[in-house]
Amino acid sequence: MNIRTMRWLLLVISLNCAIPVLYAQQAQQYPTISASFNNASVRAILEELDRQTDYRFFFKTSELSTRVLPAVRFENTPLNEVLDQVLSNTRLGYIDYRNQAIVILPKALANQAFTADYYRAKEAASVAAEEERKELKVGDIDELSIDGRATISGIVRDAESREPIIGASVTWENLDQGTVTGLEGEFEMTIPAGVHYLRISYLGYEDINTPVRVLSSGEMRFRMEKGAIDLEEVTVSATRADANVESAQIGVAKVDVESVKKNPALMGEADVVKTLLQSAGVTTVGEGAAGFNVRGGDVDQNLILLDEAILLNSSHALGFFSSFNTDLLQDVELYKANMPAQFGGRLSSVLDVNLTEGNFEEFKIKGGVGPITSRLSFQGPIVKDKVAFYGGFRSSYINWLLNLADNVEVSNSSAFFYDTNFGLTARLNDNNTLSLSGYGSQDEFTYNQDFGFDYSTYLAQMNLRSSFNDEWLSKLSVVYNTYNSNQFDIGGLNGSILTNAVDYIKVKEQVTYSPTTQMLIDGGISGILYSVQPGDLEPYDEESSVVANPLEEEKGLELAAFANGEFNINPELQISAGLRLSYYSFLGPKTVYEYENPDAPSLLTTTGTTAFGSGESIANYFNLEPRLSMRYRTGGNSSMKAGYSRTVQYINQIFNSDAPTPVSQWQLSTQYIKPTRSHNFSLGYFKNFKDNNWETSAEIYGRLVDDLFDYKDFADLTNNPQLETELLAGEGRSYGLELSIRKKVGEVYGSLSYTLSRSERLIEGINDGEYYPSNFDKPHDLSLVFNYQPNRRNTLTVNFVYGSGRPTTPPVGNFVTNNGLVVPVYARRNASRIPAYHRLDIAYTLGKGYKRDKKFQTSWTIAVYNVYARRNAYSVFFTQAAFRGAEANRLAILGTAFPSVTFNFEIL
Amino acid sequence: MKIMSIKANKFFKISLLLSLLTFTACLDPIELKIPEGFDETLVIQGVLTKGSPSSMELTVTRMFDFTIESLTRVNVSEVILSDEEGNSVEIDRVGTGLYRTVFDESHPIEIALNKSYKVNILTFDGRRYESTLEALLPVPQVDSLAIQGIEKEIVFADGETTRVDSLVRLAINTPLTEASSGERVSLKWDLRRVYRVTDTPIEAGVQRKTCYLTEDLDITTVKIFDANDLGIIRLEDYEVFDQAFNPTMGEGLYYELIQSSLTPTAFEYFDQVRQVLEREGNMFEAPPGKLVTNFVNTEDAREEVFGYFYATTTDTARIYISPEFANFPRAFCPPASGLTRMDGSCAAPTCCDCLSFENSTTIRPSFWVE
Repeated sequence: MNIRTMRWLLLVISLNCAIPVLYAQQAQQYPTISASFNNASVRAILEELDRQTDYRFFFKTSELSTRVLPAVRFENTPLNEVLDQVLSNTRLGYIDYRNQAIVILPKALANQAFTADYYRAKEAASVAAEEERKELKVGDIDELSIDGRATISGIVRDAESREPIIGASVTWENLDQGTVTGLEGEFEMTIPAGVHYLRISYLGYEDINTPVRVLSSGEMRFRMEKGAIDLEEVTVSATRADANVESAQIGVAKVDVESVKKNPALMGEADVVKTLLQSAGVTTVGEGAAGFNVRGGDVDQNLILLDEAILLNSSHALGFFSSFNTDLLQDVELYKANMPAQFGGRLSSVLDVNLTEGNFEEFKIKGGVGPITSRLSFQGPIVKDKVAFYGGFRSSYINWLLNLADNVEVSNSSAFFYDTNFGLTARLNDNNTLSLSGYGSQDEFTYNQDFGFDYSTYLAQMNLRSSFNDEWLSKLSVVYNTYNSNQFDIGGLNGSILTNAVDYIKVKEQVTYSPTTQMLIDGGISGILYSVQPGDLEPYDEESSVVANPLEEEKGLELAAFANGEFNINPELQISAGLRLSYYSFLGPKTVYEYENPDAPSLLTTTGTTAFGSGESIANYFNLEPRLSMRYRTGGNSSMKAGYSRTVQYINQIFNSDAPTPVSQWQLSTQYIKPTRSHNFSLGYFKNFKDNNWETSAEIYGRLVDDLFDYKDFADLTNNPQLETELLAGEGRSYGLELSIRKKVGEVYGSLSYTLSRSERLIEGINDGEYYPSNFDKPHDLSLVFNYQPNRRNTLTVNFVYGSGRPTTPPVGNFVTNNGLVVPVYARRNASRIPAYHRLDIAYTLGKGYKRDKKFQTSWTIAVYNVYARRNAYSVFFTQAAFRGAEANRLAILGTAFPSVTFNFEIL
Repeated sequence: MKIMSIKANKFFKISLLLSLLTFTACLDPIELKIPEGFDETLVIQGVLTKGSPSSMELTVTRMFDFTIESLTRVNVSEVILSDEEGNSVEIDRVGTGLYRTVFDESHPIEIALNKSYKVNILTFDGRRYESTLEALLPVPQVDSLAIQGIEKEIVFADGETTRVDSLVRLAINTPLTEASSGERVSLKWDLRRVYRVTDTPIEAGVQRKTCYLTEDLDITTVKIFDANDLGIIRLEDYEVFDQAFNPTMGEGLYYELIQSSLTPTAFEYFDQVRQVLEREGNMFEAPPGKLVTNFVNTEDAREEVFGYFYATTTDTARIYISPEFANFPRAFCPPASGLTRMDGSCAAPTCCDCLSFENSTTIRPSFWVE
């Protein structure tokens, strides 16, 4: 009987080993099964499968549910379909190891897959090892049996721990014979005598490649060295190789964290958000703009999560750099269509960024030095295998460059930002893991000692993950976040400081419950208590005549209960359904203005005020937010998917411009400013080719947004206690087609994405109540990423992006005042477009060396941003000189090719 | 001049600051598709000024294409000024699209403080436009203007080249509340200069003469000041303008500041004009909007019409800039570049005949005291 139970550690190791072959095995023919089971346990079925096939089955008994399956019958059913059915609606999945073994394991682990980097690393390690191989001898020629064959047995162990390695692949390459190691790391094969080439491979270890002179039967012992590849680097958030086809979720973009570092980046600073822009449906209004727009949504409609904490600002330097330290990223996922029900509070998307937990095994330091920033991160065990920590720090050093500038205004200015992360993870026992983490960031700018601003985020969070039994899993999160921004005019009569702030406390409990093998329920509750300072205006100094005007703090409570269920109706049809019930209350203390017509508040119709006491409810909203997505497999490597979701947003950022600034205030929904709500529709076709190495997709989407607001002409949004009088309510719509093709593995790989879309608004009072383009309406958006990686160390990356110019409001004419002042007249909002944006970037990365046991490793990225010096418009404005017609002018702030060199290092 | 001007342009400057690190910012003209169809839109601008005497001036123009500067004034059938009590008077046409009346006791309408007025215009094709009632508010009297010679580093457009200029800095001292009611005011400032020029005729036998030339200053922006948001009731030595010493000061010059009162709605209009004039078109700016107007077509409220009518009281303050104060700059005439061209014709008409300047007189203004 080949079915074994394994120790947890060994199981995990074997998973890591087996995963890579998933790619290669997807298209294989599985043996067929004919059997019927009646009230059989999963284990019994697996034992039967083990008996009927040549596969060896590995699983951890404690992970198998003791419940039994109802009557089920298979008739010449391929093994993979049998497994899909048997394991459906359980927390378990499986991986096929080289057509030789099936490993049963939790889906979360089964869904781990690896990027092209992984495979290249494996290959390179093999090649390197091969170069160093020496011939081994087994047996004695005098003892050779008369048939000329020899039985070779052996044991494969971890070189450091001496633990046997289960599932290692042992292959006699020239004989085309192979096996995998058993529970004790043992293997045994009978081969002809002679010189043969032996390869032993296992994920996370250097391959063993060696010629063996087989003289007679004998024993061999091997010790495999860890570190053939860096698991941390390749454990990215891709799901199984055909996940894009298999998953019921539509519109999920996953970021290969390692590839982020190889992307050509402005000033050499690797940037996750900029990498996201290579995905179809993800755009930005322009260079230097904060955030990103997803499927025609505004920047503030993206829920940006750092683990469980909501980031209210995710950029430095206005938007030139994002806030994430790439050295600490574990995985990054963007849900741009249907967000699972555990996510809410934003209309468009969820950017789910998870940081490392720390390294439980060994200390590691990473860092990088760029032209204007540097970063350092470190992680390691405090108590080995029990408690790990991590920390990271990034900082700019722009000031010395500013001081060198000849430009007087520049040299009199200053700019600085930093961010820091730290975390501690403790495995309390087999069932509980506690993590504590914090994040802080600050930006400060002063321009010519004239004005400036600063903004900061400080957050702390606690996450407790518990496994009560094989049916119940729990995650409890508590987050506290404070975001502050100040903008100031320095000195003079008008010298002032305006402060905005948002604090929140978030508590979330999420449980996963699998009462039967046919059911998986993911649900929970969450609550967020917001405190928002919408504006506190104070005089800058004694010279100032500005009157202090602190607005009242606002409070809002957002509660939600949510549940998701995943149902495999049959092997073709999978349905994922969820429901989120959200309740929001705008709370006192607050003095609110009353209007003659509350639906159209205006200063002129203000009738008085009403005072609400502390904790008193001023306005309440309750919303049902269904989430539904379906996948129907149309063939071995293709599927159709459809999705619908209702999303609601109770806090919005107020900015009457194309892009928000870091000091744009956040505004809670009130009795006048209603929550924005969106219907989101998606439909897509997904097909993979060449063993899932080529992924293609075509998706169409539509979004209808209710209670959207835009701003009156010349709206006064600063420190305004009656902000509602500056807003106009209406609706929005966006729709588009996204085409994508991606090659994942090979010497040449990359992606091409194209989006054809519109994003429009209909607001009474703007453009005669007709639909007009939103500020981020970009009908055409194209992104090409081309990578050439002939070996592990050298990577050439070429990016090309093209996008329609953003809408702008042009003057339609002029008039002259009585004293000769020529006044431009604007009439229709966003009636024109600035020129199209396009750019080509190239980067060459010289990666780390092959010898992974080196204590100090380095890599270099040399990049050229905007290779052909395209003068993309950062701003467009109009001038009119005397005796000349008016001119539209384009200001390009990065109007030339911009090279950079970034040095990265790693200390093990 | 408005409080809390920290807005889009500042973020733009910060962005520019970062880009300047790369020394790659560049500016060039581009083609941009601009919507058409606004050429026929009327622009009506009128101001009723209480003074001694009071006067009303109104212009009717057509908006002109953004890319073509072609001021088109339009005659209308009638322009009627009326007050809140129903008294009215027709305003005289004094030129194409230009209407002006100076009031005296013979007119059946009294121009008085705190009364409200409106304008009614009838075009030849029968369209009628009417403004809302605008209150005529008093204006605080300017206490004084002050000048100061300063040296200022001028940074050229390239951001690197600098030059230290000697300038005159003009500052105002004025109350910010209306004397009788004590209410805070919204102000508009218009600047002019009146300078003396002695010409140098090139024709034989023509005598030299001395003229007093008047021209508007700083006409690229709108100077407005809202005292309602401030914690002070006076402006002391508040800078409103600076200018390098120049030849217009060579024979003496008067700065003239006209302080006008504005109603809140009129202030809003001029503030919007200021905003569209100061636009830089970057992504951190609010979109420009359609200027508010207090005119409406009485039969078709949806028709686009631009412009504004307001009533105001003004107070004019002046201050003299002597040649000595300006470090004896070269006289305006003859110009340094020469008075005549190669063919002998006049290269500087104002210097050949100072009365050729549009707003020029040989009569010394009554305020001119040296």
